[in-house]
Amino acid sequence: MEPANLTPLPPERDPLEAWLSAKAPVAPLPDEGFTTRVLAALPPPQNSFSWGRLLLYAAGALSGLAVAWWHGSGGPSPAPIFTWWNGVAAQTVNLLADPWWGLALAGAIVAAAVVYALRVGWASLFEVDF
Amino acid sequence: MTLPDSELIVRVVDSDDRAAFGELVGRHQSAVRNFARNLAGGDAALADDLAQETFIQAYRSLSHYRGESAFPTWLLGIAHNRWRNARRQQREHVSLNVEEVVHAAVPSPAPAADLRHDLADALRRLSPDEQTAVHLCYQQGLSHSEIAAVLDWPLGTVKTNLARGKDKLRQILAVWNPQT
Repeated sequence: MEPANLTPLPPERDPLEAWLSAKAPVAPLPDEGFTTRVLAALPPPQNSFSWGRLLLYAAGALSGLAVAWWHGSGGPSPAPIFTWWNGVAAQTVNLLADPWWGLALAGAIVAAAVVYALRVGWASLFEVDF
Repeated sequence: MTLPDSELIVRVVDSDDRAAFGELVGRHQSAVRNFARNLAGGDAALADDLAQETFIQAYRSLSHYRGESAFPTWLLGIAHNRWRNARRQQREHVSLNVEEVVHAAVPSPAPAADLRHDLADALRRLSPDEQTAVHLCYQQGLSHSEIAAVLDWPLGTVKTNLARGKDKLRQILAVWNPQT
């Protein structure tokens, strides 16, 4: 169907307006694999492989290997930092041998975890509606 | 059961539900790709690249979607922003005035069956802003205020571009179909 009259008229009686409204809407495009391509191009899920996490694990593993090598029979004498650390660890173990200190430490850890988990909910408690 | 867009969006944001996002893409790919084709001057490959970038950007920004506009309108706004940024980088801008349009029009009358094709050709003779406004209004069925939201234009600019676009279309179609 073609427009009968293209001379200017008020919008509600404009044949071009009516013709555009009737004829212009575009036909829906078939998907043709578009959705699949978009999903394939999305960034990987957050819990998947991460170079940063891999580097962190590798650094930890190498540190552990270095400590093991230093403490082994074939390595050089321990560096001062490890001597200091061994002293701190021994004192901590002695401290935790007292059940009350162990209980207090466990309680503090649980409290910190609860605060961390509920921090958003707690923040909302302080919001004031006017 | 067909879930509404809002429920699918919640699933994507809360649990990174890729199937839900795929459903959203499937529902709205046609509108976004048609709009991208309009922006890209009919280049289907370029338009599909733009549409794909639009959906990936939407996926990244979905947690910021507040529902202030309809989801398809929000998607079209992202597409237009990406297109505008790309065009700004390329520093390409093509504009035709109405005299050039009318004189460039093919004078041979077209049969009624070709009028849809005529319209597509005629739209390409409008300025980019007029094309976009006419496309969103008549081909996507958006209201003037929705077009203003998509294009980030004042409402008056939308109405001006639509009026100018229609005036040019009227002249072009009259030249092509003098019997009308």
